[in-house]
Amino acid sequence: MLSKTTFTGRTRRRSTSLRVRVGDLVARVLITMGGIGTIVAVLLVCVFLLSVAFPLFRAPTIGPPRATLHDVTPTGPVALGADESGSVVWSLESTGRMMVSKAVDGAVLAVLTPDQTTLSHMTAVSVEPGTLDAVIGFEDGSFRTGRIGLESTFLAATDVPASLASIPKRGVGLDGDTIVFHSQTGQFSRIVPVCELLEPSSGVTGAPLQSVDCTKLTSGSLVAVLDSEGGIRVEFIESRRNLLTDEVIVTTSGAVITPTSMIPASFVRLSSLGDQVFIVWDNGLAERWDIRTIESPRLAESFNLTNAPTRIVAMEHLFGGMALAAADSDGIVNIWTGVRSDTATSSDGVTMTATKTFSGDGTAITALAPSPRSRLLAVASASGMLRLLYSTNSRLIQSLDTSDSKLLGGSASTVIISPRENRLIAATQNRMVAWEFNAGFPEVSFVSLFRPLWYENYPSEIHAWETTGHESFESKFGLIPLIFGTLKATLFSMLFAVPIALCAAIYSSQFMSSRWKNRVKPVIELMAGLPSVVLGFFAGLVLAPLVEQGLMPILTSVFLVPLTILAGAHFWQIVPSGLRSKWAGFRFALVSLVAIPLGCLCAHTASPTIERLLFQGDIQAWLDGRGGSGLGGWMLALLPFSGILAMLLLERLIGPVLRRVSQDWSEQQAALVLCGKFLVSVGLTLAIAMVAGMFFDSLRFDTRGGLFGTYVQRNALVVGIGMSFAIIPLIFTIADDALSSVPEHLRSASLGAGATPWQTAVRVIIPTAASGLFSAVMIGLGRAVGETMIVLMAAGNTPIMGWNIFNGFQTLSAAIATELPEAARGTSHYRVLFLAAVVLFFMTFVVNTIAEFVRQRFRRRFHEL
Amino acid sequence: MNSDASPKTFPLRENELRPKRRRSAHTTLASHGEPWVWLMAGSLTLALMMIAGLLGLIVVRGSSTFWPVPLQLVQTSNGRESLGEVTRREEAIDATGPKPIPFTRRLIRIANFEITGNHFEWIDDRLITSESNPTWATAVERLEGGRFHGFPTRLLERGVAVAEGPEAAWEKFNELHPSVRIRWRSAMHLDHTDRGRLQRTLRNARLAVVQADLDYGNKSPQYFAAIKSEKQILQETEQAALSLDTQTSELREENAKWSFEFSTTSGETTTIPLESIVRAWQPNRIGLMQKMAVYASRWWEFLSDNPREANSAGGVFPAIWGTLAMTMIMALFVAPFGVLAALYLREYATSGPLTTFIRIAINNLAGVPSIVYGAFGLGFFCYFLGSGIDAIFFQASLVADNQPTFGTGGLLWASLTLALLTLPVVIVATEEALSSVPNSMREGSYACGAGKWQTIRRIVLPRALPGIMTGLILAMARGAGEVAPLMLVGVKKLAVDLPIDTEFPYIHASREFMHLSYLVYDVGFQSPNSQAAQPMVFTITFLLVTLIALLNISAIWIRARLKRRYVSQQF
Repeated sequence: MLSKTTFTGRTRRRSTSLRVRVGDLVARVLITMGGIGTIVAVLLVCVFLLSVAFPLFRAPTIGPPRATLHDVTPTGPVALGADESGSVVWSLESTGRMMVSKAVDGAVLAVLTPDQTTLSHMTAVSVEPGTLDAVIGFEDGSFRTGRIGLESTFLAATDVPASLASIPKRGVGLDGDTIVFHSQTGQFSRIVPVCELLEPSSGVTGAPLQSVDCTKLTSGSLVAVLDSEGGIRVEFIESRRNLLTDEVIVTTSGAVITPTSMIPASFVRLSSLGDQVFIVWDNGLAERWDIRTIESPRLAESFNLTNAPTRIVAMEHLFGGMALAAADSDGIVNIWTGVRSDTATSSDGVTMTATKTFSGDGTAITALAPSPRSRLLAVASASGMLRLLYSTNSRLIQSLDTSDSKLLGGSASTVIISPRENRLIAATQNRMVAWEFNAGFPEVSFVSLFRPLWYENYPSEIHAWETTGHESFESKFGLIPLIFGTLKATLFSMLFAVPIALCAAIYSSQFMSSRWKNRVKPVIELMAGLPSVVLGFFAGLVLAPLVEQGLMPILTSVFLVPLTILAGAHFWQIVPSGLRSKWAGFRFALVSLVAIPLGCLCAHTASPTIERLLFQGDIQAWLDGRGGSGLGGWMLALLPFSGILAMLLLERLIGPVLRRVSQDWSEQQAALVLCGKFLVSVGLTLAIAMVAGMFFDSLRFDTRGGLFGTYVQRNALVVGIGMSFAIIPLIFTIADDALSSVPEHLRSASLGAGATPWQTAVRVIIPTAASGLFSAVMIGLGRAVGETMIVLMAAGNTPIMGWNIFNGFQTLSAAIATELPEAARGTSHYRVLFLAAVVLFFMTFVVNTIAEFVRQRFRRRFHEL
Repeated sequence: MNSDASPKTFPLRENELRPKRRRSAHTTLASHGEPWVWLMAGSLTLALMMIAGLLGLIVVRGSSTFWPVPLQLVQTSNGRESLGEVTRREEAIDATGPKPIPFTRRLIRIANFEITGNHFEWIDDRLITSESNPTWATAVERLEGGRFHGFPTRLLERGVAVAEGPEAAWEKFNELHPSVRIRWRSAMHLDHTDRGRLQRTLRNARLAVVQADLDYGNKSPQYFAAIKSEKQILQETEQAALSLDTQTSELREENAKWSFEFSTTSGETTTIPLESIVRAWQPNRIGLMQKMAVYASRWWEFLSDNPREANSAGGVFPAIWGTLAMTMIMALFVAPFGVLAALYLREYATSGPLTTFIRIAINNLAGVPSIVYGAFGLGFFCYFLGSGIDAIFFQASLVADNQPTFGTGGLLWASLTLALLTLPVVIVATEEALSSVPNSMREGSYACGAGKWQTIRRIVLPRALPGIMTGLILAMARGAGEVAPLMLVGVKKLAVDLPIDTEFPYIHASREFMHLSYLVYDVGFQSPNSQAAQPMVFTITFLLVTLIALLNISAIWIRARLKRRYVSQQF
C-alpha cells in the first residue's frame, strides 16, 4: 500500500477482494457454529441421560389440603373411596347414606340412600382397595357382599351433555344426576355411584359382626367374617351365569373356623390369592389358616405380631397380596411376609417373618391404608400425623400433620389412597380432607438401587434385579447385580485377553522382522473390525457348546500349552548357539507349528487321566457338588500362583548358586542344567499347589460355591473367551503402536551396549512404553465394560451374583438392550434403565479419561526423550 | 545377574590382580530370555489362530450352506430308514451299560417335519445295517414347513397322474416348474405391492378425514370434502381390489392344478403342490455343473429375495437394503458435521485448556458403549423429538390408529443415533488428517495471498480428503456392524416394506427396517428351530463380514495411498 505503482510498472490491487473476505467470514461463522453445535450435541448425550434419570430422585409433592365439612354424623364415614381418576370421592356413613363429592372442593355431587333401613344396622365394612368389591357385616351377625363405589365408563364426545362440554381438563361437572369427568388427555368419562348388595348370608353365632374381609377371585368372591363372640366363618360365594337361560346361579360353600385361643379375636384378613385367612387377637397373637379347601380349614401357623401390652390395631394386605402390614398401639407398623424355609414349624413350610419396621411417634395407629397399585401405605396415628410409607425400601415418603383445626382437627379414622395414587383422602367423624399428591417414584431410592433389601417372600436381605412380571409383582431395582455382572464380564475377559494381547504386541514389535510384522498387524486389525454381533453369535452358539463338551481338555490346555512352549524353549536352548542364531527365523514357526499343536495334543490325551485323578472322572458332576474332594478345584485355582512362587523360589535359591558354579560349563551343559531346573520348577509348582490344596481341603474349604460351581452352558468362561476376540486386537494395536514409537536411539544404544534383544525389551522398551501399554489396557477395559452383544448372547442374562466362572450373569448393557424396548416411557423401570445407562457412561468415561490422561503423559515423555 | 558382582566369591590372590571377567554360559543363556520370548510368540500365534479360526469357520460354514449335499439313506437294525444330509459325525460315550463304551454317531437332517416331528435325528453307527445314496432321492425346498426329502413317484394334474415313475415325473416337473414359479411370483407381486398400495391409499384417505376433523372440526366443509373423497377412493379401491382378486385367483387356480407326489422312507406318499416348491434337486444324481447351478440359484435367492419361515430360509434382500440405506443416510449426517467439528477444532479454535478438554471428551465419547447411544436415541429421538413431530404433523395417525409415525423407531432415528455414535470417530480421524497436512503448505498458501477459507478449501481439505474418507469408511463399517443401539431405535425382525423404494416420497424416514447384524442375532437366538437355522446364520454372518471387510480394506487401501502421496509431497 506504499505506492500505487510498482517496480515493474504494473498496478496491482493489494486489498483482499470482497468475495474472498465474505467467503472467509461466512466460512468462519458456519464452521464455528457447526463445529460448536456438533460438539455440544455430542456432549448433550450425557446431559439428556441424566435428565431422564433425574426425576427418580425428586421428592414427592403434596398439594394443598382441601378440607370438606360434611353434615355431622355421630360416627363419621365408615368407608371411603375414590373413582379411578381420583377426582370424585365417595363415603359411606354409618347411617347407611352414601355421599359422593368432588375431591377438589368437597362439593356434594350426589347423595344415595340405598336400602337405608338395613344399612343403618351395619357394624363392619370392608372394601378392597382400588376395586368395588365390598362386604358389609350387620348387627344380627349376617353379612352381604356386593359392589360399592364409583364406576367410570368412557363417554363419546357426542354423548357429553352440552352444559358439560366446556368443563376444563381434569375437571368434574354435574348435569342433573350425570357426573362427568374430563381427563388430561381430553377424554370424557361418566362416573356412576354404585351400591349393589347381594342377599344376606347368615353368620356364625348371631352376635354383631366385628370384622369382615373379602377377596375377589376369578370364579367368585371369598368372604371371612368375625363376630364379637369370636365366631369366625369363611365362605366362598360362586356366581355362575347359565349360558342358556342367562340366569345367575349362586352357590356358597364355607366352614366355621375354631381357633385355638378361646378369647374372641379382633380381626380377620384374607390373603388376596384366597388361600389363607389370618386371625388376629388384641394381644398380638395371630393364626394363619390354610383354606385352599374351603370346607376344611387347617391351622398352618400361629405367631406373635407383637408383645403385650401393645395391641394390634389394624392389619391390611399390601398390594400384590404377598405381605401384610400390621400396625400397633405403639405407632409401629411392621411388614410381615411368608418365608419358605426348611426349618419352618408350620404345616406348609412357610414362616411369617417381620421383614421391615416403621417406627412411629409413639402414639397409636388409628388408620392404615395400602395403595391399590404399589407397595405404598398411608398410616394415620393418634397424634394427628399422617405418614406415607413405602414398604419395599422401608422409606418414609412424606409425613403430614393433620391435627390443625383447619384440617382434620384430630386423628383420621379412615384413610385411603386413590387408585392412581394421585389423591390421599383422610376422614374423621365430621371432616374429610383430600390432598392431591404425586408420590413420584417411591420404589426407587439410593437404598433400593444399591443396598440389599428384604423383598417379599425372600428369606433374607439380597441384592436383586427383577423387573418384569405381573403388575402386582414387587419390582426389584437393585443395580448391584448388574454392576457385578459387568465387572465379572470385564474381569474374566481381561484375565484372558490382556496377557495374550500384550505379549503378542511385545513379540511383534520387538522380536519379529518388520516384513512379517507388516503382514501380521493388518490381520489383527481386521479382527478389530468384526462386528460384536458376529463375535456374540460365535461365542453363544459355537463356542458355548464346544466348551461345554470339551471343558476338561480346554482347562488342561490352559496349563499344558504354555508348559509345552516353555519346554520347547528349553530344548531350543540346547541347540548350539551358532545354529540357533542361523535358524532364528524359524522360531515363530517352531512355536506355532510344533509347540502349540503338541501342547494341544498333550492336553487332549492327558485330560481324561487328570479328570479321573482330580474330578472323579466327570468334571460336570464334580462341579455340581456330587462327591469328590475339593483338591481338584484348589489345584486349578492355585496353579498359576504356585507356578510364580516356584519360579521365584528357584531363582532366589538356585540362581546364585548356578551362576557361581557355571563358570566353566559349555553352553550345552548350561542349557541342560536349565532344562533340569525347569523340570524341577514344574515339579515344585505341582507340589506347592497340591500341598496347599490338601491343606485347604482338610480345613473343609472348597472352591465349589466360590470360584467354581454348577456348570451352565452360557457362562463367564465363554464370555471371557468370546470377548477377548474383541479386546485383543484393540489392546494389541494400541500397545504395538506405543512400543513401536519408543525412539529408535534408545533401542540402538541398549543393543550397542551389549544387551540382548530380550534385555533391551524388558529393561528399556517396556518401561519406556509402560504408560502407553497401560492406556491400551484401559481402553480394552472400557470396551469390555460396555460390550453389549457378546454378553447378551453368551452370558445367559440371569442377574446372579457370584464369582462362579461357570455360571452366567447379566450386565448393565444387556439389561438395557433387552428391557428398554419393553419399558413404558416415563415409568420407574424406564428411568432406572436410563440410570443404568448413566452408570455405564460414567464407568467407561472414568476408564477412558484415565487412559487418555496417561496417554497424554506418555506423549509428553517421548517428546522429552 | 552379573557373576562378577561379589568379591567374596573370588578372593584376590597375590599374582592375580583382578578376577577373570568372563560371562558364564548360564548367564548368557538366561540373558536371552528364550522361554519368555517363546511364550510371547505363543501369544501372538494364539491371537492369529483365533482370527484365522473364526474367519475360516465363517467362510467355510457360510459358503457351504447352499451346496447340495448328498442324501444318505440309512437303514438301522431296528428296521428304521432315514433319508437325509449327514450334518455332523461325533464320538460319544454310551453310559447306559455297566461299562461306558465309546461309539460314533451321526446327525442326519431328515427334514419332513410334518411327518417325523423332527428336523434332525441322531443315528448310532453301531445300529446301521446299510447305507446308500439312492439316485432318485430328492430334496425339496418348500415355501412353508421346511425341507422335504423323498423319492418322486408321480406328477399329478388335478389329482390325475400325467407322469408316472421318477424319471418321467422329474422331467415333467422340470418342464412345468419355471412357469409355475413365474405365475406364483406375479401373484405375490399383485398381492403384496399392488394391494399394499391400495391399502395405503385407503389409509391416507381415512387419515385425511381425521386430520380435517382435527383441523377444522366435524361440521366444516373441509371435513365433508374429505369424507366425500374418502368415499370415492373407497369405491375406486374396491374395484381395483376386485380386479386384483380375479387376476390372482386366475394365477392361483392355474398353479393349483399341479402337484408332485413323493414317497418317503417311512412308506407314505406325500403330495406337494407345485406352487409351494421353491426348488428341488437330486444331489445324488446330478454332476458338478448342476450342483454349481443349484448352489448359484440358492445364493441368488439369498441375495435377492424376501425371507421365509421366520427369517430362517429364503433371502435377506430387505436386510441388505436396510443396512445399506441406514449406513448411507448415517454417512450423509456424519460426514459434514464431523468435518465441520474437526475443522473448527483444528483450524479455527484457539488452542487452550478448553480445546484440550473438548478433545479429551470427544476421544472419550468414542469409547462410550454403543448401547448408551441406543438409550439416548430411544429417549431423545423417538420419544422426545418423534412424539413432538407426531403431535404437530401426524396427529391423525395417532388419533385414528393410536399408531405413532415418528414417535417410534425408524430409519431416520436409527441413522441419527448411529451418526452420533460414529461422530467422535470421524472427528478424531479428520483432525488427524488435517494435522498431518504440513504447515509449510498452509504457510505457502498464505504467502501467495490466499485467505483462510481459500487455503482450507484449496490446499488443506484436498490433502486431508483421503484421511477423512478413511475415517468415514471406518465409521460406516462400524455402523454396518453395530446392532445394540439399533435394537432400541428401529430395527425390526421382519419388515418387507423397504425403507427406500420407488414409491413417493422414495425415502420413508419413519419406516422400520431390517438389518443384517440384527438378523444374525434374531435368526441365531430367537428362531423357533435354531439348529436348522444355524447354517443360515453362518451365511448371513459371512455376508456381513464380507461387507465390513470390504469397507475396512478400502479404508486401509486409501490410507496406504494417502501415505504415499504425503511422502512424495513433503517439501
